[in-house]
Amino acid sequence: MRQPGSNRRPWTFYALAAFFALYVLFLYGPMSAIFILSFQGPTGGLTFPMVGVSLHWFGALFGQQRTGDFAGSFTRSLALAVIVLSITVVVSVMAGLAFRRRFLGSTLVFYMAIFSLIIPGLLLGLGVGLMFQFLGIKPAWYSSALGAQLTWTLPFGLLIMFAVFSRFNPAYEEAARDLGAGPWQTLSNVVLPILLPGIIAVALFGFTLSYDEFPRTLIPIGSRNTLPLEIWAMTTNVTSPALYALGTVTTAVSFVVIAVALTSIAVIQRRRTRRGTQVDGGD
Amino acid sequence: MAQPGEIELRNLTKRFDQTVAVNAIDLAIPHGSYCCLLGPSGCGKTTILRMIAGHETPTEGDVRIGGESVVGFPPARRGTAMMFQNYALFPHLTVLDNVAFNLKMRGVGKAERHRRAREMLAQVRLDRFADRMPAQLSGGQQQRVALSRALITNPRVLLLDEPLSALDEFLRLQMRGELRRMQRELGITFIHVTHTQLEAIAVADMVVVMEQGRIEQAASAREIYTLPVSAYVARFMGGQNVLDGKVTSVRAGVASLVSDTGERFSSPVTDATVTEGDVLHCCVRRDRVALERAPGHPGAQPERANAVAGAVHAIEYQGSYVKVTIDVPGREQFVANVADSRFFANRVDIGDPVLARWAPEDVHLLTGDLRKPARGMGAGRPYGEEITRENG
Amino acid sequence: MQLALFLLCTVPFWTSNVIRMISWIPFLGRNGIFNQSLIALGIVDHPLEFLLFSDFAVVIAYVHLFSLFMIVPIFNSMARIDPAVIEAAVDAGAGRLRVIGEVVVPLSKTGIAMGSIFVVALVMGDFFVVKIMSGGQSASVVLAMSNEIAVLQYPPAAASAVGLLLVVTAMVVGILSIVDVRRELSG
Repeated sequence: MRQPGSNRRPWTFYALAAFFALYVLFLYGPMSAIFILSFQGPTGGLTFPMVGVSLHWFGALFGQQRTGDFAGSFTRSLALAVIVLSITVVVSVMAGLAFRRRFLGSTLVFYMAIFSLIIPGLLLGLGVGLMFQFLGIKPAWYSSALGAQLTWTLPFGLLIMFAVFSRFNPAYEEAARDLGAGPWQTLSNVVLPILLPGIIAVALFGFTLSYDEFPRTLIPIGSRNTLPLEIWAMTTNVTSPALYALGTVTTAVSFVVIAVALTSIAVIQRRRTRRGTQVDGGD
Repeated sequence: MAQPGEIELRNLTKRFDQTVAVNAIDLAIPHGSYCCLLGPSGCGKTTILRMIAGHETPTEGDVRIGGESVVGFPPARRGTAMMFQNYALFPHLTVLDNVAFNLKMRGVGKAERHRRAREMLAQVRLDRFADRMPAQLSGGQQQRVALSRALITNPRVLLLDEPLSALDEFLRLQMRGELRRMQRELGITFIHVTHTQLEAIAVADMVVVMEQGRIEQAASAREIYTLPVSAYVARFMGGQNVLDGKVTSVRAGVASLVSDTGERFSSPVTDATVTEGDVLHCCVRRDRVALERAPGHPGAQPERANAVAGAVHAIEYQGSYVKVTIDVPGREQFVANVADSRFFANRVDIGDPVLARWAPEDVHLLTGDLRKPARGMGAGRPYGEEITRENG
Repeated sequence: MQLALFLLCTVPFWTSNVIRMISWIPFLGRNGIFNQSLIALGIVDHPLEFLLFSDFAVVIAYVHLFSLFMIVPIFNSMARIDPAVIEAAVDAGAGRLRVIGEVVVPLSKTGIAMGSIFVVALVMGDFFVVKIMSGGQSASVVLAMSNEIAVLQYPPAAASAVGLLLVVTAMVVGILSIVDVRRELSG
């Protein structure tokens, strides 16, 4: 609805802009309260007012006696997220390549993937947990919880790869074949490098979906919690601003991961458009 | 022994599901010639190119290059190189790496392939852009990179899919001359797909006019333009007026005809056997038509033979000549290209009644239509109305 | 600019859902920022009670948590609308509201449908928001289920699960029958 060049914007622009501003306030307002309160002084409580400013509650996070196994659950969550990311990237890319042609049962496979995405998370966790119990396997974060998370990240990855491939021009592959590249050479020299930003996006999704996943992981996690489950447990038994400190720390980790992913995408895009010297004018 | 760049298509057919994209085509393209496949979109010309390149498998028939059947060969083993529509330059590689791609695939070391790619780029005066990304180049520069990338494979046949369509008019005219010069220098076969008539006749030794998966005419550019075989070719190439009429008499190789609307004209019929009552299709070049003002109301039957009467519909100034379109009651529009000096010496205006006349020896018989069942007056489809089908 | 605003919307969604939910507690609580601001501004003279631990709080938290899943598909659909179409509608005399109603919304149909699928599935699968934000005053099927599981009552939990699954499936099939998601994605 923006009309570049016209100096008078329609009134709907202002109405929608005001609505958007309210929405942003709605998104960030409560979050900022948490971040501010995580710097609560040692004697402060769960709500305002602030009683001094300190890093006391961040320190408290690592004292296990008060806040549970923060360090352990944090490393578990990171490890699990990395495993999920790797499997999601590999499987999504392969599935995306496969779905470029209609194969026997492709529609069925597609709808099964969608279905797996929409099954309420707790149900899925329950199913996975019961299955492991039934099979007599002890549930653990690296087995049953990993499986439960993949049911969620794989369909997401597949959907993103669909969108990525829909913008991929098959002429690149034909050009590569024309220039003597074999199938593997075409894949590694042409297809994957061109799709790299999309693949990074899948990785990013895989990581964050796993790192924050809660309802699916709850039942099949076994005896050692991931970070969101640990936080969940804390909400019921920790009544100190350490909870907010935890929120601030996990948020910071998420942001670091996103920043790394987005920067790498931006670097790739820039390399493609802005390498070498200044672009001359038209023809 | 066949020459390396000689191409022969035998009964070549391609079907996509129910659609026949290419219908049993036979064509021989001599080594070292510049051949244009010309036709409206969806006529199958790109599909033929892709079957020669190996990006499409024929449903039936054979593709032979240098006397050898290449059906089933991967593109790289055919000795062809293709320049894609919009070029398909790899966006993640520099210009240099794009050009060196084929050498890399063949395992040539980095220093050697970069040296050869640089040489290639120097030939098209792009060496100083070697480290740019394709997105930073102008359309014309991208085209030259695509050309270098294809030619570094040392092909015996270069396949060009609409190579000039992404360029602006000025550059298009410049580049088509460049392509022609390059083909002469390299001495290899060029096959160039286009839907632009003037582009085809400007560059090609051999023009293949296609319609609906079939070849209408394959001949030299001049022959296609001046001696079309069918009403379709005559209309598609655009330089002709198509006439139809029923034979009233045949004498000394000249047939007298009368049209449905009563105009009388004659046509040489030396190389065809026609008898009274046959319906013939002929054409007369637009630049051989003379115009004069006709007193009386427009549409009245002309008194004399070899003329049509009508009212001026449109006047388009073309520089060296003026294109005058005339509405003739009961038939398709008639066009006269009048030399600029003659037009302005005796101007006509839109709506004026005019008589368009021509000499009987300028009439050309469309022999290709003799074989087909006669089409009614004006029933042949003007080329602008072709069914647009996706170009497989 | 467009990308920056889009990132502005997405950034909060990269943090933990549990954290984002509990962030409403100090905001909406009796002594929370919102109530204190209202009192400071003189709009009310004693804290509003219905803000936290109520159905209102549950809805607020859901919108906060899941609106991105609606925004992204709709953004994707709208990004594909050719701006010339909107200009054409304005040229044809449509007012601003008419343009939105007659052109933008119909062309964003797929995005709305996709977003609805995501949000329905997420809300139907949730229990922790209901549990925390309603303060135990509201219930949902999944919350009941999770309580049953907590006391190892698997058969009734599994029965509720099957029922819930059928409902969600029916809703999603209904939405999918309106738009062909696969064609939209690959087209």
